[in-house]
Amino acid sequence: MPKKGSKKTKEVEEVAEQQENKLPDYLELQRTRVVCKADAPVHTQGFQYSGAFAAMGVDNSVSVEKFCKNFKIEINRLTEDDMEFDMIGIDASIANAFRRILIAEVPTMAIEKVFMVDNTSVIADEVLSHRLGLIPLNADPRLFDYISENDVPNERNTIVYKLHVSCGKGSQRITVKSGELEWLPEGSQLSTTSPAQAGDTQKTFTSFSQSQKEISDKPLGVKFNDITIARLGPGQAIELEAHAVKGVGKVHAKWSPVATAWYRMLPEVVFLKDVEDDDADELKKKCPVNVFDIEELGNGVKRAVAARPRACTLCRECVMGPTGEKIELRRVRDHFIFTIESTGAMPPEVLFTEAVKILEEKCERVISELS
Amino acid sequence: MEHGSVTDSSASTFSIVEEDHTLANSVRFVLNQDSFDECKYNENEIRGGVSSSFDFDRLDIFNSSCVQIPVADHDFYSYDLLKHKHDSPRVAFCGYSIPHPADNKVNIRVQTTGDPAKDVLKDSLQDLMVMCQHIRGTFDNAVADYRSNKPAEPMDVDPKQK
Repeated sequence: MPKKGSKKTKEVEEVAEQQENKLPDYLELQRTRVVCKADAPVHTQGFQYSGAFAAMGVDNSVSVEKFCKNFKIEINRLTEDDMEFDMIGIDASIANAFRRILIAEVPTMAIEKVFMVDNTSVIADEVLSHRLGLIPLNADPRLFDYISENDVPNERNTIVYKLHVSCGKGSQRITVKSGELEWLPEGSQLSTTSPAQAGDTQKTFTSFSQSQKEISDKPLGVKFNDITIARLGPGQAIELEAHAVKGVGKVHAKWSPVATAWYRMLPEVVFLKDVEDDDADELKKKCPVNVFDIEELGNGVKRAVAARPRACTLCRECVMGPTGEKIELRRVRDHFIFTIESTGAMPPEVLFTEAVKILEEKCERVISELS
Repeated sequence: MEHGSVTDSSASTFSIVEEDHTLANSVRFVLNQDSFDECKYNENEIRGGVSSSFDFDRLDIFNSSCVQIPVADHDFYSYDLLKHKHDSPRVAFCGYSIPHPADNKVNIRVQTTGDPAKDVLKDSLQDLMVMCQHIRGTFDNAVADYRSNKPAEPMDVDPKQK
């Protein structure tokens, strides 16, 4: 142990060669783990202040250089619709910022205005329009601009769909599915004036100067064809035109690009005391997600081991009952298991990249406001 | 919009519109990590000035600039603190609040140990931007790695052969 002394310069050099300055175990636990006790989690705050351990000589700051050195991402699962990945070395405030941005501030396209021509179904106009708004569209919002009140709807800010279904007089009732929404790449087909007036040139509700087929490679249809919109009985019909525009989830949830996005902290299951024999078997049965395994030690003694701590859902079955004192459930404070489920407009990895870009833009906006 | 004193620029409240917890909490975190001129002080200098026979039970930390260490040998410890310029952050206090949930505003309060609050906030926002760019780069690399390694997996299992 380095000596405490009153000599200044000489002592300092001797100490520098000896052990690194570390926090004592109990403080390190408080700093890096959230302990989930049987009734409530403890140490949820953590030491955020960079100078918290200044007097002990331990640097609690996370400078940008240190962050960049220690930050890791490991991808567990990446499919077209969802992904699960680990972010290690980041703070909860930033992970939460990404989650919030993914849910509320990444833009998407969704149906906003519905022009009803004919609706003799049992579903009211506004209910039908509400349902149309919630249908996920297979359109990349990065190709489109926002539209405001005074703008003319054109091929850059609107996608037009048509729905024209009817059920014949003698036939069975039919279900109108989202697959019947037809994309109109040339723009609106409804004229704003009645056919008797105008003459040759009919004005429609949109002014497309070019076909949207030029803008997008893939057809801008709906993502899922089997969503039930309405049911029609004999003699009923629906004829409408729907305009989809760009928006963000903050304004209305229909514009949220994720089914949902969430994170959890990496669980850690620690044995304070060994759990043996019968207790071990009971423990293994208690856990609903099979975190524990039995390990055979040489002389007929069995012991429980945490084989899959990552699966722990914090049901706390293992910390209640007789084994309660022997097990401690913890969460690693800076390790986040992120799951993103996309509704289909953009693949999940693109969504996350967009979310990070949006946080950067927010910072830039505030910086320019301050200057 | 900065609300502060004309004479004292080290403490002000920044009222930002169209923002909420998302940005404010992230900026608050980065502000908390802010330290003064890190590059100037290397590791050895920092680690050099410490005694580990420190009495943890009687430790009293208010904030970085106000530490009470109830030990007799003040000479040694006050020398430590002078050495620890790295641990004297520019931020004395930082926090945010949402004045009313119906208004789209957030107030970020920054009080510094001398520097103008606006500059400290701007530096923190820049730091946050650098962190975001790094996160994006790491993520893109991870996705590319995952994609290049993935095709190997489906070829392992062929039920017809077994």
